[in-house]
Amino acid sequence: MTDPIGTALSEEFAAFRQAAPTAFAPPPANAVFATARSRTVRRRVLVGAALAVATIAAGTTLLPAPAIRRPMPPADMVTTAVATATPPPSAPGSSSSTGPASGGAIASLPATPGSGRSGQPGQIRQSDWRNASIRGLDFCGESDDVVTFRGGSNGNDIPCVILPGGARPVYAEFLVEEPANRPAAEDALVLVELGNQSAARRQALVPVAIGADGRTLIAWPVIKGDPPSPTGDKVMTFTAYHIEQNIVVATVKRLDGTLETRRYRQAGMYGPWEQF
Amino acid sequence: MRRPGEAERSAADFTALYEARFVDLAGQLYAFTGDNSETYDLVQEAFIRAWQRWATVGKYEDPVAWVRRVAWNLAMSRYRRLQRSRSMLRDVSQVAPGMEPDRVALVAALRTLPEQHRRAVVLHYLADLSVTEIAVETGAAVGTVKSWLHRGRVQLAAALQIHEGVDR
Repeated sequence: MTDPIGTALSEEFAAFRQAAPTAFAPPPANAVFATARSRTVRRRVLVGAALAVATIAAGTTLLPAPAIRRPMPPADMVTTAVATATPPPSAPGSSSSTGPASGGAIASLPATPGSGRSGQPGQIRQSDWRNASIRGLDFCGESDDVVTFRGGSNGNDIPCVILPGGARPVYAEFLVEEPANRPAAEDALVLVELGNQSAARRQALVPVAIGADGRTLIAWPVIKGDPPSPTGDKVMTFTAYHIEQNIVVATVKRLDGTLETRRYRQAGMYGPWEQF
Repeated sequence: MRRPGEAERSAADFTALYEARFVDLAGQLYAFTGDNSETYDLVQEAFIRAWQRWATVGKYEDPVAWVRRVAWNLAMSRYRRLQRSRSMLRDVSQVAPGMEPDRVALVAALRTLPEQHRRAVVLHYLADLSVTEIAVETGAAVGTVKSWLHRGRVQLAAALQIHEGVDR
């Protein structure tokens, strides 16, 4: 069976291809090497400067204090997605979420709002998560180092949505780092979802810390949910999550619809998260 | 530990890949963006990032796939930003030198397609990717890609005034 449209389009594109070598002569590869080298040098200088500033600024002793756990909501409350904790009014990221939508995740908040490991106000709580820029969030599949959310989404074809379904961030001190480059006290755990509602989606819990400059949000290795079913019609979702002594405890709704409580810990100081 | 001459070999491998595949990638990105200087920026940026990670990327079975994905991701995010700032409204203002008017017409016709459809069509016809490979590349379901391709082809044919009965 002939496909005249397909044939005509193939001819159009074949002619386009023939014209491409004339139109797009590659610049010398040396230009690539030179740009890459200059970026490496610049990055080293910037990191060195940031570390120097942070070292000078780190005059406080940062003693870790465990996050206090609130009891998990009962399973029936999880399935109906009723919020059990109200975020502090100073958290803009939560203020727009008056309550989780059906299917949204419930975040059990630590009972020490605003207190950091050095008694500072929790800077990360000021984050406007729905419009945040997060560095190193590779899960979203962007080639850019920084993923920028606007109105809760990065706006790509395959969108990355932060705090979907009215989910809320959890704040606690659970990411271990040297105090010298760690001016902020609290960290956050936020839910992110990659994919279209009509197609395959995948969720991940993203630990986020504030960088040495006190402003940049930096993603740590994420806790990925299970991959969706091959046809994309079934998706694993995180229905609740909280921090318990540096351990992430999450209730997940599996592909078969059953609920399961999972516990994750970091493998090494900076390592990925492992279920145990 | 890096053996003597390894760095030179590595650079030579990268250069060979760069010189062999730059044109293909530039053609794809130009067909998508319709902007010559933007195309050069995107493809070069993707290769710069590849070289910065060449110790890893160079060992991949198909390093070009990595470069292509980075270039396309950059294109998609930059395109959105540019579109928001309306600067993409200049219609084929930066035509690639050497492109014949009918090739420009193809690019102009492509730009009438929604971006997902356009991406699928370009990846299919210019990168020779199958439906399954496009699904992997874009993170979409196979059925979604089929739909994008079908609609894209119909709309592109209409824009180029290719009619089903004409060739029969």
